[in-house]
Amino acid sequence: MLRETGMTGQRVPKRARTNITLLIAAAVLLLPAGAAAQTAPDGGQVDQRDVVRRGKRLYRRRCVFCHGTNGRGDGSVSRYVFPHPRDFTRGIYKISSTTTGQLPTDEDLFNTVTRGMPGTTMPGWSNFSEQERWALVAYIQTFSDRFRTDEREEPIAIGRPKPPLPESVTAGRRLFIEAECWKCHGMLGKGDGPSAATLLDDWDFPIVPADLRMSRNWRGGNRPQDVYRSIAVGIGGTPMPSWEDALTPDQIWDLTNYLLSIIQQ
Amino acid sequence: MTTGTGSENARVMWSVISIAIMVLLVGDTVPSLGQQAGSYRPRTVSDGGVIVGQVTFSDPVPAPRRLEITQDGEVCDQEPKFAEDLVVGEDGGLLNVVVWLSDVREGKPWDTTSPPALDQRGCRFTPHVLIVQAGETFEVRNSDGILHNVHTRGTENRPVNKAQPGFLTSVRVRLPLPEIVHVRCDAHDWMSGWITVAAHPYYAITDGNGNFQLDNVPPGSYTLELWHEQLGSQTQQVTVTTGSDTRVQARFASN
Repeated sequence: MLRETGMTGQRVPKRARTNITLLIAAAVLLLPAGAAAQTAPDGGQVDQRDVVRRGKRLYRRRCVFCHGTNGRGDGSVSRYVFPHPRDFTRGIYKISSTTTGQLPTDEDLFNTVTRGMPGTTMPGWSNFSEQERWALVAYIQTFSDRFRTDEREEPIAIGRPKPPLPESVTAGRRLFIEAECWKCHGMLGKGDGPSAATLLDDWDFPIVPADLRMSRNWRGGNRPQDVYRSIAVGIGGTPMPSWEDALTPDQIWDLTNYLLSIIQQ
Repeated sequence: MTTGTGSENARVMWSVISIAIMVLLVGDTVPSLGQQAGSYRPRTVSDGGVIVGQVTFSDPVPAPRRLEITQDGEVCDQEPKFAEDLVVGEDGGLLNVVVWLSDVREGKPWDTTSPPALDQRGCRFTPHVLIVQAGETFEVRNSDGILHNVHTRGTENRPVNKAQPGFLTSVRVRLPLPEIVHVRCDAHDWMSGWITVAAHPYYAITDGNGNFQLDNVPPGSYTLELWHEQLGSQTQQVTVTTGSDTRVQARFASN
């Protein structure tokens, strides 16, 4: 039936496929003779495997206790850890510089490995060499097919921070109230808003909103551009949503300036 | 990185093997890719038939479960709210079952006259189960004037989580891959809805009597799939003939 529908145009007869395979295999076999002096045609990919292998070794030594052998966030100490360690198999990460619903960039993952996740048990691994951290980034991506199947997006544009003048801080405070950030974070930013107690992450583990007075605990960092990004794209896999569609860049800077003004430590 | 000639050769060998394997794999998956959502072919259907059916719940109906409204009472608690995860009509008809043809390859074009929209109204998702077209943006409204968010949880689609404060009455969402996605509002933990991301137009939701209808179906044999958020899924074989009604009866029970 289907063969008559015209949908089979893409169907390559099996024998033709085998021929193509042989042809490409032969071409690859012959290539090194001419290209040996240059980089091997597929050299990059082989190198990448070494990188992944190196990342795996590091992961097995340092990360496995929380994030688990298969990256499911189910390591031996995971149930004693709050918030629960992240499951890497769905490719959902807290810190991303891309629009909600998109994969994080490699740099996002690198930065999280380097800086850790403030306010959680995830430390920064800046004592690892840069190469080692990139190797970890390469390895943790193997836990989710998404990094192979999904299109990668560019980071959102984050302009220059707006000077934290009193009027910007005041406008930010007004937004904090009107947009109801307090619903989770509480009127004083303590993380005790009326919705705070019922929050769950995307795996149904309980999760708490950040105490905004403690900037050292802000998951995505506390530099102005970090705060802007956390508000604009949200915190992946948690109830903290993206505000990109709800607020203008100017308003997000005002809110950033207000949040930076209520820091106590 | 420095490598000796021996490992250089090994690398080349691996390249050849890995490329050959990749080619073989890709070669084999080409036909099956054609069966994905993107392969639905819209055309004019002049010889179609209709599938009409009723879905019932065969067990004793549990008492409606009243939802606990813990905040924003003046907006969210105007009238008593009940869980919508199992709603059974008077004659046993089961509401909000998603019914679709899982193997239809071509048929009627999408009806674009009334674009689907989800509304956060009275701190409920309305409708409780929405059908949208895969890859098309759709509207989520906020009729409440207070903060909601729209947070999707699928397995195929990556999660989308957008804030929808009271002043943002409309926000656009796009889900690219066919599946049924749970949607929640984290600000009000009782809010729960479902978005059916449809691969083709032959999807329906049962009404309060458990009735559904799929019209303009090209004649042929199909697998009809039925899904309910609490009761799981089941399938039936149906045969559609030109100009006539194919009647379907389905029954769900508690697990």
